[in-house]
Amino acid sequence: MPGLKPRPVTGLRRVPGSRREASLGERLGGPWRVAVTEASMAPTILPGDWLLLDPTTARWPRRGAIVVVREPDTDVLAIKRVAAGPGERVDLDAGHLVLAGDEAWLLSDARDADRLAAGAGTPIDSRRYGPVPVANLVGRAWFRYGPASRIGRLGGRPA
Amino acid sequence: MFRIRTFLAPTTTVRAHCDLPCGVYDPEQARIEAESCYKIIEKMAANDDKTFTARAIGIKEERADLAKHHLDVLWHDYFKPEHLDKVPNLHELFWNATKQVSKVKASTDLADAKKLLEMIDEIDAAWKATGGESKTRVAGRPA
Repeated sequence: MPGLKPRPVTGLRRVPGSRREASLGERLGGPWRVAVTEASMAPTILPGDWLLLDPTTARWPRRGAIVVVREPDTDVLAIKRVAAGPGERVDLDAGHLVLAGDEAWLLSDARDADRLAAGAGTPIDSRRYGPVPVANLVGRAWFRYGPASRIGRLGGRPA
Repeated sequence: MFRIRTFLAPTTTVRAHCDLPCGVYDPEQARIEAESCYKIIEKMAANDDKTFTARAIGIKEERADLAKHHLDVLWHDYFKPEHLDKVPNLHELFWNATKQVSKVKASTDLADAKKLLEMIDEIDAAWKATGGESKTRVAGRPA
């Protein structure tokens, strides 16, 4: 519109995380092995899977990696996939979001149709709690060592 | 073997969770709203007051929306693909019933509301046939 000066877009206020990043020593304390409950990562990871974790990861692993995080707000230990890493762009229904240097966008693998069939509701991931700061990262899941029939490396893109 | 398993088992649990489904389902919830619609239509027929009619229409539409919501929750959250073995026409039942709710919402014909109640009763039978009664309600009422 002529005559109207564009207003500067200031963006959303960033609330500094209360959690500080763990030191390498603290990270070495683990967990190194975790068991999974619930099915939002199906079909990649199923409830009851035993996974090996690399807790020494100090930065966000690359896009596509499966990570264990402390969820913002609740501190629940959860397993999700990195959909976008620090500085990357997340496309949303209305526009997009550019992540800060220490944030990642984490999503569940399960497709909407599967979740509905399983009687579960909306997935609890970045679509609900937004970007997750790196200080919440607990480790990267890299290997499944149980059940015996599905032993193997994890990673890559969702099925 | 058991000891090795215990030794290997992780001590930390991580959750791959979705919204928590409470697991409590009962077609009665939809039926009560549908009964409200039925009674409202009955009362509307017996009363000529304009204000009453206007209020009745508003409340009936609200109740019909709730009936539809409760049917949707049953359909999406309670019923699972394996239930189709026991109730092959499950999707048709819900499709027709939710469409009937839309009809009741707009209608002042008691027969429409009656038909909806019958359809919910069929869904109730499907819920019972799939073990819903014993699985999705707390046994007895919580104190």
